[in-house]
Amino acid sequence: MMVSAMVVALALFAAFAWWRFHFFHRQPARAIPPGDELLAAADGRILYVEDVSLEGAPANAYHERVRSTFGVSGDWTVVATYLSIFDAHFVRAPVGGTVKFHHMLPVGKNASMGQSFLFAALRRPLPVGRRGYLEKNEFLGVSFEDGPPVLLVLMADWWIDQIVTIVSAGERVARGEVIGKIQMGSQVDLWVPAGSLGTPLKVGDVTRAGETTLS
Amino acid sequence: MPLRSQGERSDGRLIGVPARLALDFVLFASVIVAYPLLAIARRVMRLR
Repeated sequence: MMVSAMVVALALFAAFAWWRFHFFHRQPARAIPPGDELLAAADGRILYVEDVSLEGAPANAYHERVRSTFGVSGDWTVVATYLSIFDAHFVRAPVGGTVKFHHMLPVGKNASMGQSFLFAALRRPLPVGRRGYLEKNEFLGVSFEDGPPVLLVLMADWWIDQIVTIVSAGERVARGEVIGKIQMGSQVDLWVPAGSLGTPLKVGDVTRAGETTLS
Repeated sequence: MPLRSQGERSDGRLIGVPARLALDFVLFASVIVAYPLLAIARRVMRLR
């Protein structure tokens, strides 16, 4: 009994070390589809897809943060992708263009995104009432100055807070190129002008950064 | 380049390496335990 408990504990620690120091940091090669279709920016599962209007009074504080950070208005579609701890965390450019970063500081302390994990695992849309972290957490916004009007919001969970940029601001990136990495449980929101998504997306669908086409 | 140094939280507090690894282990172990339970829950919800 004692021996088997030790074997289980050792196996758990070995699996943890493999995940923590090797598997989590992998950067899988991707076959970027030719053409100019919009690409998924992150690996993970779709948490929700919704239409958002930034005209007039925004529906919530997150929409206001996006509007003020990027200086945009109009109607948008948001595709939220949840990255579990087993997904590759390298974020790729959904379109080509010159990268501009917008750093948004947290409002108070970052909140936990644990409920996103739960709903993503259940393949259920995350209810609006459980998205409080979007209104609080620090995020890195990415836009593409001379590319199509596409916005990315990279949001990390409360206890890691590390968003690593692989390219520099002002650098020109190709469609599908790696632009950054967010650590541990995280979310990437892709904002595109309303009506520009050609692919019907469902909550729970799996996306692959730089490979899954969205338009 | 990272927006903040490794282990620095948004409130400016630094988390030491042992604490970070301990947190990561708790997260990893929780997910390992939760995934099979959530898979069962998903199957039950589909049947209902």
